Amino acid sequence: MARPGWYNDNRGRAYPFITGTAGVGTPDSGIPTMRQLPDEWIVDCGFIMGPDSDFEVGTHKVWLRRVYRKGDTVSFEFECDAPQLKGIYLVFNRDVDEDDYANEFVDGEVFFDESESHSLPDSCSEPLWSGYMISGVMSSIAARLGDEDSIEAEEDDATVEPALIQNLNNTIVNSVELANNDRTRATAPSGCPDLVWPHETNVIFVHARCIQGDIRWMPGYNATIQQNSQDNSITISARVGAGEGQPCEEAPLFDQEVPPIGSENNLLSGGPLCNEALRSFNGVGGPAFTLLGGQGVSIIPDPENHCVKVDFNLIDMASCISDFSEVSESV
Amino acid sequence: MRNEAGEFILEGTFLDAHLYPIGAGTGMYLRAVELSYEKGIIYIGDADNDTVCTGEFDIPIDVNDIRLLDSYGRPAGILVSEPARLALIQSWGNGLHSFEPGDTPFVASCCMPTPEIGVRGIVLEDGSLFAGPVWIMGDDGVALRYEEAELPATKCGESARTVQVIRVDVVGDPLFQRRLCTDVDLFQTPNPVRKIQIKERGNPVALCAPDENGNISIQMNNSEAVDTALRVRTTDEGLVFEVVGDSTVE
Repeated sequence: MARPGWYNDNRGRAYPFITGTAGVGTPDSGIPTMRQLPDEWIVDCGFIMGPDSDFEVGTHKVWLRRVYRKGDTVSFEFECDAPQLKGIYLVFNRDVDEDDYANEFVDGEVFFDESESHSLPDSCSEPLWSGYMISGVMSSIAARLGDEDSIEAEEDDATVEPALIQNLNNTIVNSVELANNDRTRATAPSGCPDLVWPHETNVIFVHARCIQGDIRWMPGYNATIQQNSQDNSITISARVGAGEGQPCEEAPLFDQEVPPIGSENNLLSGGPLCNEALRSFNGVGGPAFTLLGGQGVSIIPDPENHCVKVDFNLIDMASCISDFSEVSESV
Repeated sequence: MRNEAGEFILEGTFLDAHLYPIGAGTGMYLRAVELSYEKGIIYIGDADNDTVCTGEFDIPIDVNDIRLLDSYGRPAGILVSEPARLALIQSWGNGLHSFEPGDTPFVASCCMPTPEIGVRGIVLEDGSLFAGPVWIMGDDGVALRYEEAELPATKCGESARTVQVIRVDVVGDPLFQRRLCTDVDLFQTPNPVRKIQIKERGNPVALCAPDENGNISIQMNNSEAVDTALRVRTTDEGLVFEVVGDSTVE
């Protein structure tokens, strides 16, 4: 026993609970209430709030929720009111015949209250919280607590000293999660059937979860990555042709990404290839393109039908043809 | 626990403490207390740094616990006391009240070493800190992917090993700026003209697609009628269709 003196001291005071929340008016015998919890039952404890616990010092607290006995096993159940720890209790079990000052370390045990629904965060196997408890005089516990007996805390009972809690919330990068936002996807022209992809679109595509350990960054297409050990920084930049060079095809946002159903060009976005968009006539480009009717020609727009008629009607021309066709060609 | 100015902290001022600032070394001590009319700040230092974490409290003091935070706002510990015990500090008057490391050291059992190993946080250029599970998201033409790559051996007797890689592809998303300027529900991608349908007397006769440069060429003669009077000219104003011949208009 490394520090029995310390534990002996604690047998005579409320520690590790805040004074006034436990050990108040403890009867000489019989089952106590949680507020009357005998000082010699628990002589020390400590808790570590995990990186995902959402624990805030000064806002949240830890308390002994329940002490109960089933057969020869006495269980001490601790609870915390941090949002992510709701329904996740730390339970320390002791045999009634166990030695005094027995030490146990446990990680957050998931215990569901069946009357409530809980959604546990994806914590990458990191314990949401953990702790240790050193039980005191087991003979006292065994004498007072019979089989199936239980003591439950009421408000502010058996609150653990705040200095016994180490808060690691938000203090470590415990995992990296990768995702890609959706690309700009083509929309069908009015009057044409909608483009349909065999997977969800307009969502964030999760590429990988819970990446832990050593991670390397790699510049892919048109990317450079620079590490500066002086200021501990990583700079990611875009530069045409850098890294893996220019891509020959689109980079998928997730492993199963495919083009829209019926796609002819296999573009994931559903849009046209560069050479599929009309950009110029006879080398004359847009964005506004002008058709002019010269001598003997009339240009007749027909916007409703998305049509332009080029009418070679030889108007105002000296002609020996009397009955020329009305329209020779239209585009 | 007295400083050069004769200000002292009584033994019972703090009931308990638990200090765990990330990266702090040995010899943590209460370095200073700064008081103003509305609030007080307690500075905790160590052998290497003047300030490894701070704790703020309002004046008049009405709290039992002083929460300590590091420079990034991360939890760094707690000082346990009571308003009546802290009243002593409040009586010092406004200003900075400094202590030497030997004046006010914390006992070792209150100090939890929290080494700055691994990645403790990711700081952006604007100073914002990310910790916990950090989401890295590709957007607006940047695509991220996770790969496992084989790292070849670099020394004799060493074998190749698999490493985790985050690959960054900058592939572009040509319309993302236009999309950003439009209501999400209203944005539609533009639909360029892809083909030209040729009709004769209302009947479709051909569907012309552009060449690899996106160009469609319109010519008015062919091998069967090399002497046609029809002309197509490109001018600064546009594409001119005309017929060569005599005009009746003066």
